[in-house]
Amino acid sequence: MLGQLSRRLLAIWALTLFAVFGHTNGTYASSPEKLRIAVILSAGLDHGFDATLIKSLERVKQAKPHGLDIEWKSTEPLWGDDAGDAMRLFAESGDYDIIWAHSTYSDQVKKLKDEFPEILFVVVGAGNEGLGGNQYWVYKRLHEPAYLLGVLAGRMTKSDVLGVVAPFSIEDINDSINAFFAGARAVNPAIARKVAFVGSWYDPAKAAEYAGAQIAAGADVIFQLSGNFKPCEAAKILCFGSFQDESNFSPATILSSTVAVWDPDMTWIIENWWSHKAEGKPYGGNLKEHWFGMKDGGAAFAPYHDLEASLPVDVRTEVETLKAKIASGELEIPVDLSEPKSD
Amino acid sequence: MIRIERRIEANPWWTAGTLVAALVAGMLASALIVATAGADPLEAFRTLFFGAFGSQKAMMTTLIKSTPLILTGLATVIAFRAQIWSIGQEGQVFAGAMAGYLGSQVLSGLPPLLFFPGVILFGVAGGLLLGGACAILKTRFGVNEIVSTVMTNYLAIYLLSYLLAGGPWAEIGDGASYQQSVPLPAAEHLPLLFGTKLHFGVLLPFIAAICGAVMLDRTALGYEIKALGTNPVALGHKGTNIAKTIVVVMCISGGLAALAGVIELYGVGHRLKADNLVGLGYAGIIVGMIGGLRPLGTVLAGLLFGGLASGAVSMRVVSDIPASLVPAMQGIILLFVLCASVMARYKIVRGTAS
Repeated sequence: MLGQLSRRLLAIWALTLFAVFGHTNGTYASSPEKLRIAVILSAGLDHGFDATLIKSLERVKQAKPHGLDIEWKSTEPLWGDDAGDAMRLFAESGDYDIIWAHSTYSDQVKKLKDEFPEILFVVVGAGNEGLGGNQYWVYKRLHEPAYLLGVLAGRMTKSDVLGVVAPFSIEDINDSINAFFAGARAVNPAIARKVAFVGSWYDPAKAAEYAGAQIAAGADVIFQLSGNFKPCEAAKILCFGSFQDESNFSPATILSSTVAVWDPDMTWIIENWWSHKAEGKPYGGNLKEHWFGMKDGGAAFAPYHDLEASLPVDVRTEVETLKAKIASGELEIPVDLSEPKSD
Repeated sequence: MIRIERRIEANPWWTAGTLVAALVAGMLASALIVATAGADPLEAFRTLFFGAFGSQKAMMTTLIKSTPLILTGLATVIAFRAQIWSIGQEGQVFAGAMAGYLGSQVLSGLPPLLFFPGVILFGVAGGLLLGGACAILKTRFGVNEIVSTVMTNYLAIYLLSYLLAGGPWAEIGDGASYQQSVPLPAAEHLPLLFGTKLHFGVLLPFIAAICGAVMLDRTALGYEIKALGTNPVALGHKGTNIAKTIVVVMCISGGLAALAGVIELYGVGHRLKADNLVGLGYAGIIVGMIGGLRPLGTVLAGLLFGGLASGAVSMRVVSDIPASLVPAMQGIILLFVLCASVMARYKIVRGTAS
């Protein structure tokens, strides 16, 4: 009698257990509905590098890939060990599926990625190490729009001297500068180059000094990658911006800018996360740089805004034709990472 | 009648009391700022505190972040007690990291028992040379140490930039460098203490603080340093070689700041890179001042600032309170503590003047 009762109890227990675990197993196997992303910013939202990322996040959220409800939380700029601590706190909270560290953070990811194998880590741009596994390495090359800016500069200059002011000589800056001059020389072989590196990610005063010196030395078009357009305004010359449409900083001088579009990168990352989570495919992070160009919508060329009328029609047509050729893959702009030098 | 009178001798209770009052007042003023920003001050302090001291892990992070701050704070204490206004700690941290990195190239392959003391000595020597150079400029040529140390800060920072921007120590990828060296091999990371995440270097600031306290209070050199600060003329008449004392002080100060740089390199960053070093030297000046220019006070101030630093990170992650509150708070606390240090020198007396 007692044995029967306990057997029945056992059966009830087993059923209950099955119901509980069977049920949770069921939901586990079904597709995720939510995607939570933690973003470590590197420069702050005033900078194109971070601002363009958040804009892309907003667009991807609207697009709802796989019907996912996407949420994110971003930090203020963090570097080195502090960034590593923030990533650890995000990871340990268990609230995040992807940690998107928006610059050179592979040293910090290296210390975390094996401890949190379910989290997909993203690092971005030059200076990172390709670790593979659950670290994906997003890269941004804006050399194609920079080439187009160069064509414009080569056509518009009267002195045949072009200036470039940039933060550092690193791979994902050199590619743009070299392509800019390649574009200019393709339409105007007489072009002389002036290149200055500020030696800091943020030093508007020095950026202005260098641009001013280049203008004094004869440059009449400046490709400004360090974000200060005052010298161009003072000298009433054309300037180009970088990483985002910077026209509103100086509508009277900025003809166009290179623009980073992170949507394809984000889609690529989300697809990898999805196939891991929903289909059980192991993560396979890339070991080498991986980038989307103009053809795939990863880079763009900012509109001329109010300055469009000042641009000769044949130059506008020439740039449109080249843009179409790059977008179709017919024209390939070579990637040149060597350190650009002044002539 | 109530009057305010200058104290002839400091009263330790009164000094400690004003300091605590300053900390509390600083917190209250910071709370006002949080409130005006539309956030909840209690929530802010709670996340800040838990991020800094709320768990064993948080405390270890705090200790790691305090380590360089205490060392640069001690560098400030030694110099400022002699009334030598060296603000070269920032450059000396860089010099320490650079010289320490040079050490790894020379000593690579040695057993750890020789390697780590060796590279630390290399690093310390780097800061010592930089501090010593400013001392010689001061004693030989009468160059004001404020000017020379600020200038050597730039020299050290730009030297590192040169070395890493395509220079001899740059990590060269496919075509260009990224302002960083190659990572140190795992065998050259400072060993960890008893399986925790604490590296061995966290012990050094405490040892340095004890040595500093003993040196200042119990040795002839310490007496000379303090006398140099209060009355150099009298010290000269006593027969002390003042120029030599200045050189010694600035060498010790430079060496301590450099120790912070070399520990950050081998214990935390594991590759030579300006991002890992920037600001440690300047923060040390505040830490030393808040510590009342005393070695043990500096340890406490360093722990407080390390706690604020690690608390700030968790505040960014956990709550939506802007973390830029933390540097503002550090500044506010410094102002209150400076006021308190003036207050500590006076007393309130009732009755008529004697």
